[in-house]
Amino acid sequence: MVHVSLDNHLDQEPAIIGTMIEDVLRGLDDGYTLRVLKEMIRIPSVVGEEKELAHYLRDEVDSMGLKTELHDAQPGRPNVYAKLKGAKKGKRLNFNGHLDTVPVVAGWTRDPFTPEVDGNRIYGLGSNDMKGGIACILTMIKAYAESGHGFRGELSFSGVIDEEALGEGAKAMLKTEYGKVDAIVLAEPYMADEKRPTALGITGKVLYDVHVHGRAAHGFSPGQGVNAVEQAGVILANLQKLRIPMHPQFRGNYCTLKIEGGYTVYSVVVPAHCRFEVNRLMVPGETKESVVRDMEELVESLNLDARVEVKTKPPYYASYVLDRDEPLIRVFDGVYREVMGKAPSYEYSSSITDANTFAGEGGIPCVHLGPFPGGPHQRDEYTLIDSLGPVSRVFTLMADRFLT
Amino acid sequence: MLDKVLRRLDDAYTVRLSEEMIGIPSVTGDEEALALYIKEKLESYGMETELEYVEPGRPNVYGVLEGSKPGKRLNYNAHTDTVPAGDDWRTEPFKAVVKDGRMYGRGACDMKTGIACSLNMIRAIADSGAQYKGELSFSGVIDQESTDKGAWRMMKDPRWRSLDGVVLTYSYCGDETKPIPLGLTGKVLYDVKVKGRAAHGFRPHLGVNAVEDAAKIIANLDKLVLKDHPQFGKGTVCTLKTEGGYKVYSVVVPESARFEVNRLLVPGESVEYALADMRRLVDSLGLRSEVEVGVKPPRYEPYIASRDAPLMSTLHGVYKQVMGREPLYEYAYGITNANIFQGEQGIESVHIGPQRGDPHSPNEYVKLEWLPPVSEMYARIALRYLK
Repeated sequence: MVHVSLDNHLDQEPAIIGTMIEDVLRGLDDGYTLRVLKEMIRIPSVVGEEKELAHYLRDEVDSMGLKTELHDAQPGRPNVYAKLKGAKKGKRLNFNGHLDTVPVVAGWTRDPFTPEVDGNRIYGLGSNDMKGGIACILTMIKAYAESGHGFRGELSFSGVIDEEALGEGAKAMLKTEYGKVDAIVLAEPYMADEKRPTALGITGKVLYDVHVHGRAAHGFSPGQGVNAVEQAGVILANLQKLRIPMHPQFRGNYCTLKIEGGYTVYSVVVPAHCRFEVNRLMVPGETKESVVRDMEELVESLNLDARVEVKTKPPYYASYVLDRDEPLIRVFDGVYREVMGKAPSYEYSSSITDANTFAGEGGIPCVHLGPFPGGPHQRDEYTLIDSLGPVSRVFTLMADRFLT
Repeated sequence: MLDKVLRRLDDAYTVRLSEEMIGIPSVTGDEEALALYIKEKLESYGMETELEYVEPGRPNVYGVLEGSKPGKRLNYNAHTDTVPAGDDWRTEPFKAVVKDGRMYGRGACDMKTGIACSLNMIRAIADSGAQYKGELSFSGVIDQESTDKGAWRMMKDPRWRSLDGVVLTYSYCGDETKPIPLGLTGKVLYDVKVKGRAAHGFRPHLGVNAVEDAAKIIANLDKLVLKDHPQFGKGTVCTLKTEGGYKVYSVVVPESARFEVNRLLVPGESVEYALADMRRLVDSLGLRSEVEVGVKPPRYEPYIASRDAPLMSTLHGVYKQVMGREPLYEYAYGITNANIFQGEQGIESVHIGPQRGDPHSPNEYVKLEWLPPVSEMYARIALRYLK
């Protein structure tokens, strides 16, 4: 490609002519998208088993002329990263997908690992959640790499493990250089239409793990002991006193998930220990520490005889919210309207994604866009083939507009 | 005649039998070997014996010695099972060791020495040819340390339901360490099942949280109406166990939860009363869950005894005579097979046995000095009651 400086306009940026965004768009190859999607469906990557898919992506992206890196986020489970640097310094935009799929649930009427095209549908485990989205990212990156179209800054791809479990892949990514990017587009299957609005913010969550310690005694003289189960009962019966802050767009809440305490083999003994777990949906502005303090304050106000330890258990996700005029959102909004011919739909969501980690913990603005989510309850999962192309186009134009 | 019997009591025999029986482990579930041993002994005294299999491999053992004329029917009762040995024994739990006047071993006071004293007494009465009216019998029942299947089965038999009196040979020695019960609390084990409705845990208002509703009941147990008995005072309530929620992690509103509550009942409170009381409490809370209030075994009716009743007054007189002092009594918070014999069935029951040393603990023991007076009391009670 030819780089030419125009010296007569010193206040203008040197432009790269001969390659325009239109060339990149023309380079988007829907046939390629479908091919790599099929190849990825054939590689099982149920959560825990992401390695083979990570290697496939490394090979595929390397063949585009980029240099990929693999970093184990957990033993034997690598994240995969690759970047395309622009000619000048500028912002850094990352396109992200998770490598893992959910396990195969009962009820599939076809082989989850054999991609099957039926009219406009392509079936397979992960077809929309989210190998379809990853295929769109690859299509876009390939078009940029082959066109040589310049941008300022850095365009990168990340594939992370464990989104379907505890989000360890995203947490590990925050510790790398990609933890400092300026924005992330997650290719999750949100079409930003009325049925699947895209999130301007997501609630977070903390799982309280409360240990109540009493004192054993013969169960016929309970006054001589401290009944950990009964004291736990007092806490749970008073959870409505838990402080839940107000937020303009979100409502926090709590939900007890589990309790256990008392004898394992029948014995008339005052239980010395009891444990319970409460899910606490969090709103932007709350932190794990503030939420733990709320529970500790509630417990203290109850003046119990038992000793209570308020701990937390994974998974933990921070909450976040973005303004409509966050630069990433403005770019997304404009590009979406151009490509889709209508305005995107937004919502304030409670569906946890890796954006909770990237935006909530990492402070990186995020937006979700991906192909059609088809297939009830993940059985006979599919996506619509004609939903892939527009996603690739949106990605391409977003990169161009954001990285100016 | 009494003298003949008393002379025939043999303290060395009692000690030997105790050692032999401690050497036959009989942890709950494995009572058969001990039952066979007892049966053989009772037969050797001339008793009509019987094994009644309550469950495969787990028999009650009975022996009967008819008197010369019809009269009252008195039974000496023991449980043949012990709790498991557990840890931290200084000696072997199933090998009796005598040291400093104490015999150590699992069952030393709970309750193989009670059995040994009974056997000693029965042999003395049988061998001496003492005359009495009525019937002297022995019963060794399984499972007392668990859910009392042995005693329940015994009471199913009309022959035993019509007994006039039972002496439970448990280690209640009538001093300040363990006064004689003048009645026992009963007990019921509430089994409460709470059924809610599942929903995604992020939208709890769309579901009904069974764990939270169960907790509300547990937090309000102080609203159960415990009757205040003039002698016993009030019963007690103690939650023993709870569980509810996911088995494999999943953010779902729990649709089921369970808990168990031990309630000691005082005379005037029946198991039916206790059930109605819990149901009333649950209804008053207006919970959205469906709640099923039931009971799980074991359950026992309370009872109160009279100092003037025939067997109790016999015990009192005999105790004074043998021990040289009056026994101490109490309205006891505890459960024994007397809850079944007297509480359910109305058969007058008394408890008397050697002083206990650390039952259910490691290094359980009995002080051997108690065995001779206990054997003598058993003999005197039998002959006086069956006069």
